[in-house]
Amino acid sequence: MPSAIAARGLTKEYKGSHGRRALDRVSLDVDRGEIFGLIGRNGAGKTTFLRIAGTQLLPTSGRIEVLGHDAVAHPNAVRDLVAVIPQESRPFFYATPFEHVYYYLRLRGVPSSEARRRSLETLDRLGLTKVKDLVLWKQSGGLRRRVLVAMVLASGAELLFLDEPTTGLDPLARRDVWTAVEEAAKEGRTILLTTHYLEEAQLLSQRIAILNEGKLLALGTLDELVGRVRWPFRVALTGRGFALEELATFGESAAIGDSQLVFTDQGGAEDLTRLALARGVRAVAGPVTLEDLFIQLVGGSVDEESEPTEEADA
Amino acid sequence: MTLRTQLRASWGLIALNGIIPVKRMPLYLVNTLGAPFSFLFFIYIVSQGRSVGYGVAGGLVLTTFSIGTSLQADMTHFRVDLKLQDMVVASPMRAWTYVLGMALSELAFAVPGIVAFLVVGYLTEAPGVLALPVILGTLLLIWALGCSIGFFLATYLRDIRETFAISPLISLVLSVLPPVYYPITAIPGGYQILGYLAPTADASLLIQGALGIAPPGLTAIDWLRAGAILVGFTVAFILLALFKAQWREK
Ligand SMILES: Nc1ncnc2c1ncn2[C@@H]1O[C@H](COP(=O)(O)OP(=O)(O)O)[C@@H](O)[C@H]1O
Ligand SMILES: [Mg+2]
Repeated sequence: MPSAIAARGLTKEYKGSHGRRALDRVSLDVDRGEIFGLIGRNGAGKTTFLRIAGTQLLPTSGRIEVLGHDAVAHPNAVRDLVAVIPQESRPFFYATPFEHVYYYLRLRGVPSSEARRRSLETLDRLGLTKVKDLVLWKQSGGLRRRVLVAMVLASGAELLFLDEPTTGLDPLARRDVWTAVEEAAKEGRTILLTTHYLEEAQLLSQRIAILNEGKLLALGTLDELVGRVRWPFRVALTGRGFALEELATFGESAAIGDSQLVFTDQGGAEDLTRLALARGVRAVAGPVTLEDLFIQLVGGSVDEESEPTEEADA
Repeated sequence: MTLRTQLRASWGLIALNGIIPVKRMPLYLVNTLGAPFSFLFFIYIVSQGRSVGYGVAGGLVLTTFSIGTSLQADMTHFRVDLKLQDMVVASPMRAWTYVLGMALSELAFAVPGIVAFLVVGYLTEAPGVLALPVILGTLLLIWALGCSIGFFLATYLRDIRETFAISPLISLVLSVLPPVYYPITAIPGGYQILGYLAPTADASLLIQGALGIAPPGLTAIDWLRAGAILVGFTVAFILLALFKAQWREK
């Protein structure tokens, strides 16, 4: 069976972008039935990749097959099998959650009684039963976002594109969405997810791709990604029991607020933890998180904008 | 989806963009009735009640044509602000089903006005037996024309505010300047041909004919020309919308 998504040398140069590539020869495969996380700084090209795969945008060059169909030449074959939540999309302010899910299914050709059943079931799964008949103009931004999640999850589409689906949700609502996304994956559906919350990508995705300035920087399971960095372990120390110069001998270190964080290798983590115990300093050691990896690989925080290198127009 | 499922799917849009908003915000209706009826009122006062028929013909054409203007504003909003068009593109619903559903949904706002003008027309003029089919056929063409132009533009505009710039321009060229609200014979002889060039003026002329108030002295050629230009424009813009609208971005 072909991959859910197979991209080969996928490149996008938006009109008027002076040769700057939003995507630069990206090749990757998303397997069927997996939750695939796409992460990167703002402007890294995540949305561009999703919109090309979802047939909303044409690439400049390269090939992309979605569920075995050429997304450039045969978009309609792809469209019958996918559903998307676009980044920053918003529902209608004058309709209710139920109306949104129900009519979205009707637009997708689902018969009335089936659409009603699936709408109620999905709204329930996302904890929206109590508010399903309330007009959205009185509701919070988080609820609006969850309505969109309910729409695509109810669609029954084989492949779901979720572009920052949990932005703006509170921690509990986010958990509801995670559970629903995991259930969808258990039903055998493929999910391509972009997110700003790295713990979300780490928790949900089987495999993760890191995009940076349009290029694919790394791809693999979390363990595989950990294997690629110089310092695969982290030790968090409470207080200032160590001098920074001393910590530097173990790896890379930084003082954050009232504590110290050290990235090191396994031996370093063991030695440092033993030393901390001896000095009565509280130490928490473990493998690096996705966020640590991200910072080591990309060299910046995910929340910072990657500056477009704009040439001055002559 | 089969053709039948596609057609049925467009009903979802009629509910979402037509029936539900009208139900929850009936004030919208007042808005769509306002402009054409103020023209009628104006004509009524100025002509001391004698040219109401022209106001009716013009009102019918303007109300119907402005469905396309609302469609353009709604679709631009859905695409740019709500990003809902992206959801529809990446779904089994095709572009033409989307346009059809949206165009039908906008009728929810326009039908009350159209009915009101028809009632006024039938009360004040003496339309013949064939008047209704001619009027409805003409309005159907104007609806299709307006919606094709609206959809085409909506796939290119970058911001809803561009709509606010373009719509008055279209309205000036197609509703205010040409003989939509006044008889084409009011234009000096040599320039009348310019009046025929506006499809909205041709539609108005056909409706004036159906209402029995067409200016005297028009030849069969004049009528044929009006019909042909209206049909020609409509077909051309439907083709433009089908083949050149930007459903998938470049
Ligand atoms: N419609 C567009 N026209 C021109 N440039 C664009 C357009 N959309 C995105 N870009 C540029 O492409 C790059 C990638 O953007 P995007 O895919 O939205 O990144 P991400 O989703 O990772 O934040 C950015 O530099 C952005 O400015
Ligand atoms: Mg994005």
